[in-house]
Amino acid sequence: MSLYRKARKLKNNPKQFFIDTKINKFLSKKKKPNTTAKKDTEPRVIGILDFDSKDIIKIKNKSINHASFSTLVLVDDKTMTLSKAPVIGELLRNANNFIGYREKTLFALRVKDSEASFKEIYERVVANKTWHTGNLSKFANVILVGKFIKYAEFFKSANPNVRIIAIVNATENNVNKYHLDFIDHLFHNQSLIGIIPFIKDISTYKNTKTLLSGLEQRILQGGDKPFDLLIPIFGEAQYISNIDELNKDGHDILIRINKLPPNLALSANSFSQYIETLIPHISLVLMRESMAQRYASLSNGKILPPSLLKHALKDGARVHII
Amino acid sequence: MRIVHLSKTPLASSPGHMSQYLNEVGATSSHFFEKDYPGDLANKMVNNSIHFNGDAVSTEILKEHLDEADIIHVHNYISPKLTLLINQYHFGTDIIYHVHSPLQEGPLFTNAAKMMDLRFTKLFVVAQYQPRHYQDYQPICNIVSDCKTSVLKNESKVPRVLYTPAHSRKGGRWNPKGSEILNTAIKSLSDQGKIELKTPKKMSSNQLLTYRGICDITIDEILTGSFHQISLEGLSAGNIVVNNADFFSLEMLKLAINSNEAPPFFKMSENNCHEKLNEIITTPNDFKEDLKETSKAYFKKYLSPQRLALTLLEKYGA
Repeated sequence: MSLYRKARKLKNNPKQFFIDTKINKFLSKKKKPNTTAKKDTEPRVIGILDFDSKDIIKIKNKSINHASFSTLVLVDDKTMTLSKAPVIGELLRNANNFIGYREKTLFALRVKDSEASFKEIYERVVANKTWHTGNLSKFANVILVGKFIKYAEFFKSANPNVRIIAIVNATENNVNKYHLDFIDHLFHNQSLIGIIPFIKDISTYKNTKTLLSGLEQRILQGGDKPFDLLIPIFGEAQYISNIDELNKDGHDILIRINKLPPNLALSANSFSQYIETLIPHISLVLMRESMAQRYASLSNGKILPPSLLKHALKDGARVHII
Repeated sequence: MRIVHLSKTPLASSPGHMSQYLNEVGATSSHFFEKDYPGDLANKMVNNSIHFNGDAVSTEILKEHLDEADIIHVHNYISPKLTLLINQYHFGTDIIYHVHSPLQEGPLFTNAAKMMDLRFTKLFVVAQYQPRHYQDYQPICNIVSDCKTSVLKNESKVPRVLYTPAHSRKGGRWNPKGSEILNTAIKSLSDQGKIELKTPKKMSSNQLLTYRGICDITIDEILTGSFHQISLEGLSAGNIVVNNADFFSLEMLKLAINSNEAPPFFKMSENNCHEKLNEIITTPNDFKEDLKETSKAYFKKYLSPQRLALTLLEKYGA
């Protein structure tokens, strides 16, 4: 840490400055029992995320089975063993041979939380080569619990197809709106109903049991299935003669537009405005089942909300216009 | 109106071209970049730009320009050293942030505008696939020079195809550029002598555009649903331009250039590339020339550098 940053830290947060001084670290190291050996032997831990280190992310190369059901859970490095960590401890105790919780599908990443500001962390991530190795893109789901929600954006950017599942409880009711944009599925306990402004796919949980079954469902939704067909989301689903062909090609969404006005784009000033002007001209929307589940809270009802198309396109949906 | 463009890298001449053509339509503009491309591309994308290397002289020049500027136009990302200078010396009204194609699909969709110590008054995004990530930003079309040599007709019977996948980065939704299936299709046509394949490497933007002018067909990538600057260069050079631009990429281009006509791109995907390439190649030569003229006419009508520079001026003012 540079002298300038040290001085700034002393000015902004004197208490933390003294907590972090080397002498304190030295003393605290002496007191702590040696836990690292234990951690390293845990087969599910694939590595460590440390925003203060030269190599931000260190990942061991482990084989993953059933990649489309695979999940990475962020665990505070201070937690001694995984069985004591929130959520993953419960998952391990209740695995029941569920495909998503087996030894080679469910993994943990230990996190040394940083005191640096989000902006500083961002700058370090952008510049750090270890973030761009592709190691993080192997997992279909990433579970962020509580304070780790702030890292959603980084995991999303490392893998455009990942589903970010976030879990918050009553003590974290001030979740920053900025981070919510990067979350796909949000679980919160009942006391937070209506408080968190999130709409993509939101569920409440009453107890551990309902949370676990909810997580299981989300992991199943994204996993490989024999059929992932286009299903009607909006409009009168007429008979489409070439539906088998359409199901086979690589599109995620099929949109029928009634007579697109050639100058429609000219009346908008941004993508967002454009989608809003386009909506009244859309008569039919079909979507892959897995994608419809991803935006479950958006696609209920008879209207077509602009936010459904905006989210899907931001997440990289391939659209076919008929 | 005085406009200073700033960027960390040359960004394939995009800010440099904006600056150059703003000067041609009556504004006063300069472009400063912090670090040139390494290796063979060094010095090839910075014809119209000034290197800000932080020494006394370049700092002095930049300070003067910032002081005089009405608008600071920041492209993609600039270092804290530059943001500090802006905050010290710029007292004009507008600081604009403009997001281009970042290199990696690492922390790509993070919002760099929020990471710089600048108060932006307007937000621009390059009008390709990126508007769907920066949904409230104003889409802006890259300015491409007018290729003057494209009037030359290719007298040889075999069409010249220019195909230069920029990189082979893998993974990600928008990264892929090279397609094995397409590479095989193109190579087999070239081996059979049905096309003359041109794959120039590491040319300056002006050189490459001139080279494009003596070709007939430009092939952009066909994997992601976006198009890239080379498609616009292909139109400028009067080439038949092949890509797989999707509905939303085309609509965003129309929005950015204020046109109710879509560009005359020839659409092709991995699934049908064998068939589509054959279709273009076997098109009678007269009809090929018509297609090429359609490309050039579209460029002249909607994408001429002067027209786009005036559009940019309007967007600064609006």
